[in-house]
Amino acid sequence: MNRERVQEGQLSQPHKAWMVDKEGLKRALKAYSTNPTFANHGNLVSVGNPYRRALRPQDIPNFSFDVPLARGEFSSSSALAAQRMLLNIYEGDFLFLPPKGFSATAKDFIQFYCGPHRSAGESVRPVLEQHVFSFLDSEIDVSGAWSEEAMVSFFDARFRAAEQSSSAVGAAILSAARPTEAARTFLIQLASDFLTEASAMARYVPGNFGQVQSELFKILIDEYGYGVHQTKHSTMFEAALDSVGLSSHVHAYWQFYLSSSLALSNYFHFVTRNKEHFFRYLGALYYTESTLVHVTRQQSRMLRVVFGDQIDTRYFDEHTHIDRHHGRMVIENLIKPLVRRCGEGIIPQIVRGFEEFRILQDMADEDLVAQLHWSDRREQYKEMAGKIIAGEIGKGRSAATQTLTERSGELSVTHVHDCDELIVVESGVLELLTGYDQSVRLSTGEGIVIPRHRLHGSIVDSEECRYRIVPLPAGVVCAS
Amino acid sequence: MRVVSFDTQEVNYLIVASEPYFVLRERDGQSLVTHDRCPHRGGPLHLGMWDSKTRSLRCPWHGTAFTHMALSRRAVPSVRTGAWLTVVLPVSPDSPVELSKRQVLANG
Repeated sequence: MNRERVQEGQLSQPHKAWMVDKEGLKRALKAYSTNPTFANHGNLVSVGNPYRRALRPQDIPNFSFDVPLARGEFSSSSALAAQRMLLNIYEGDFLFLPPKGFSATAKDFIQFYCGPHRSAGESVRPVLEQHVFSFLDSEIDVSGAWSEEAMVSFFDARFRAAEQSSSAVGAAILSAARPTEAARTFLIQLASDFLTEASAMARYVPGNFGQVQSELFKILIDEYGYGVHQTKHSTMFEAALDSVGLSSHVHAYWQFYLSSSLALSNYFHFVTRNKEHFFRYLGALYYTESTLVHVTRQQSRMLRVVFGDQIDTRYFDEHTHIDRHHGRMVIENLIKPLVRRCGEGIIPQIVRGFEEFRILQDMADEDLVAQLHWSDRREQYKEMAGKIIAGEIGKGRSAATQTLTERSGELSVTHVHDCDELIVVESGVLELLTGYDQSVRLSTGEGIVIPRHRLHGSIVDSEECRYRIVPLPAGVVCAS
Repeated sequence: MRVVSFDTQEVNYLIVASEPYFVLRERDGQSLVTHDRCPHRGGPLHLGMWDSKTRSLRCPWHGTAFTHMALSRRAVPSVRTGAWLTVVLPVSPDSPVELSKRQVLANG
């Protein structure tokens, strides 16, 4: 029986030859994160320079990247830092050039791609991957004696359920007080992946693995528009961004990516960079190609409701069409032939990848809905802060309270906190950013509540600003 | 094939077209959905005891031991996601399935 040729379990026991030790990890993290191109350059949006990706290196020593995160920490401060670094490490494999003015970015180009920098990144990559993705090992367990028929029945049942569901993100955008803002935030999250679309897939082009290799290549050439630049999927997504007044430059909105959005992109890098996860990759690819038919139809409809005729939805409409073919191609021309060739022992890995990406997508949707909700109601969170400031907690000066003084124009690179926090301005004016082009102006005596794991940053809008950050006990935000 | 999903906190026993199956949970969170009848004389395996040293289940009737590997080979395909389990049952999609909770001694 095929199952006896490749026993389940053999595919999930990697050879652990070498892993950087604790001290080595610290040194490599410092070396990697302090690359000048990842510094705070004072810009919220990085137009025309794809290498500037602020990392907040001052925070990096505070995190225990060698400890795996639990599911509930998926959007934590440590997860955000790790996901940001991972995307940079993975994308060191790909070439980016600014649309124009290369000479102005030449120094960053070298710093982003230089050997010593990439070497530091490579030594921390396995640790960061374990940190952010190993919760999936306990979250998902695939067992039993799988056959091709059982696998197909399982996939079909999952797709039937997905087709009956409606998008929570779409509903959150359409019901927002400022739907265009919310829809732009959504497009920005997609940009973390879609502007480099199928680059991860391209990692499986080299090598020699028979007919399946050529079948995968057929999907890739669709993604790349058959060499016609206007029909390359990422080009169509650029047109969507341009049509609603957003920059289509790669990672212009780096600071506004949620860690959960980065996780979706990084997962595909993780399972393509590490070839032992090839079968997991196929499962994840099948899930995404097949569900995108339904998902992109909903997205296209939602975006037209929000932006009207202004939005160019070709990217979404193309996927509604072509992914019907891609889903079929993945199962019929890749997965089934591989099961027949390699044995049913590979099925648990394929199912696992399918299920892992399904869970990550659900978690990313939940996270984005929470961010949209908070940003859309930022004035209410300012009012909530007013009530807390008037009470005992707002006056508190416990050891955990931090007071910061910043100068005019000083940017706090976007980040998240792991508990609910209250920011109170003691003097000056602070513009608190809740998303791209979304902010609340806080003057002396005013504040805002920032729920845990909500992405935010700030810019000082007075000569100087002194403000207090007060951690809030659990339950205060709900009660308010 | 029939695909069924359920919360393992509420369900650990299935009767699928008159054939009984139970959910065997291991300490490391792994779970198996395996036939409840011992292949020897049909003893109720859900009342068998788990030996964590040998990772095997012993039938309460004649003491026949089944290793984890042997149970895996007999188990129906399943995917646990958090507390939810989805099983692919070897019956037609319209076959009756009864879900219930029973004491499974091996699960402690």
